[in-house]
Amino acid sequence: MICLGIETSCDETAAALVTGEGQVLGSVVASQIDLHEAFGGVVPEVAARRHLERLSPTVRRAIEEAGIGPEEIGLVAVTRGPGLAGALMVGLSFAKAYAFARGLPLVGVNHVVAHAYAAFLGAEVRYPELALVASGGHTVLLQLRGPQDALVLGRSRDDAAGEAFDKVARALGLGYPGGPLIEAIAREGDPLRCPLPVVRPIEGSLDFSFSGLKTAAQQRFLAGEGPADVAAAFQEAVLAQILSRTRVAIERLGARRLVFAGGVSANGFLRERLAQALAPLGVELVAPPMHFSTDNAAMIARLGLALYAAGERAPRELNAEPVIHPFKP
Amino acid sequence: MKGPWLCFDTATEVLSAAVIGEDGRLLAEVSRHAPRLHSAMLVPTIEETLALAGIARGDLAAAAANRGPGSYTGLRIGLAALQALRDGLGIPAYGVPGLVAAAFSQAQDGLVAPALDARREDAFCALYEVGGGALPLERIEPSLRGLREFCGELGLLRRPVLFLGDAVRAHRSILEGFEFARLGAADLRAADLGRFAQRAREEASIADALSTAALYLRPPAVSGR
Ligand SMILES: [Zn+2]
Repeated sequence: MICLGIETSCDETAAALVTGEGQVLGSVVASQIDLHEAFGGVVPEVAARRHLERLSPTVRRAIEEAGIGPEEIGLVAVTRGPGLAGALMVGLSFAKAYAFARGLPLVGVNHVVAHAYAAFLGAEVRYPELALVASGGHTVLLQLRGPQDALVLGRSRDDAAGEAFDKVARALGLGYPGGPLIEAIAREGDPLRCPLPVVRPIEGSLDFSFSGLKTAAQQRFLAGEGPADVAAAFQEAVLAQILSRTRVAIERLGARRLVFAGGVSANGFLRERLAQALAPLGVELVAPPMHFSTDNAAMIARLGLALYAAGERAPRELNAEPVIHPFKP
Repeated sequence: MKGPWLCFDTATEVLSAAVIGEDGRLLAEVSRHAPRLHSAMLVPTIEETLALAGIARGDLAAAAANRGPGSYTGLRIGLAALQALRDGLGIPAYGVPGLVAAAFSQAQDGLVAPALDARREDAFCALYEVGGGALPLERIEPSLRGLREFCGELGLLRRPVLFLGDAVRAHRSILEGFEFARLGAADLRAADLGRFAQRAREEASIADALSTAALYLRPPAVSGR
């Protein structure tokens, strides 16, 4: 079965076609980064307007890229949340009407859990999986116990990891988005010249905290340290925190692999060093191809297919859920 | 264009869908007051309306929806669905400027001012001259403005003006303060969008007005950033 995935939760308009085996036939992402750059962040009304302009052509291009006829689509999967309400509703309304028009089943998908499933494009899921999703909007440590069952083990208590990268990049005068810029400049820096404080976990909790690191990085920079050294130290501190939390989870759950997904997983330094650190524990790092780390619709289709196979069907009254409580896939 | 048309309106708190014949005759309509529930209820309402009319989705010849002005989120929900129906069913789809379509629905000749409540005392409003079954003539172009100021301008015309749209309900007391104001229907009907599109398709000069892009009338507010 071929699934059409649709994603409009933030600032990327995306559509993809994925087979039941998890093979990506076509994937198109229309980015709005240029549009929001001038405002230094995503403006919800601007994003929603652009989604409406781009979605239909994006779906058409994805179908063309896949080289299939629309009659070969057997399922529609759409992001139902979390995300920006106005943006989500464009994708949701399109997906509902498209499924109705073609007489297809529809499933609603949790965007954050879907990030983890990007690692299973062309690969099998072996439940239970341990997954760290880190992006500009979310930092969540999950235990995936089935397509309909994702348990939150820990989450950021303040800024998301990707948000911290953006803010540090801005403080260092590097620009937006911060992730790739910090990674690039950190290669020239010495992480030991001005190390940032270790963020100790709260007793018994696997929660994260990144806003302190952002402030500390800013102070080092204002105290005269070079941006490359501060960036390198910041990356080391993020890595240390991710490692301390995931090590506990791995031990507690006896996990044999860790899925690392979301926009922050496109950071080559973090990927490589995490893999190195986990190898001696007999734990394999599984990450999506770089271009499926950031927002895309292939991950939506991948989780949609798993949900459908587990018997999930969206109710006729499916609505956007900008904030998903309790946390459901 | 042989076959029935599906029409729907998501520009206000009333969600409305209708099926009309190619001659404009009403086959079925469903309207519900559904504030903040348009994205949940639009497709179920369309299904309900088609079932009432006894029409299968595959028999539809065209679809039409309100492209604005109105609630920004509401317009996007309607237009995203309209584009998906066009892509999924392979039928033509028409985004209809809602205020002129409302004016076109009036049988009586004269000045017609469709006005949609935009909170506080603002309204999305315009003025049309309606007559002889022709397409309405635009006298004041659609805009978002204070209703009192709009009425002040209309008063200078010294002619009766028929108000339509939910501003009639929301701002009754304001409108009743103006002697020239006549109060018409507060709730616009989805079928009127389709009838306007059926007529407008024949007039090359305004065919462009039937785009599926939203008519917001205002750039997005990005203040405070
Ligand atoms: Zn994301």
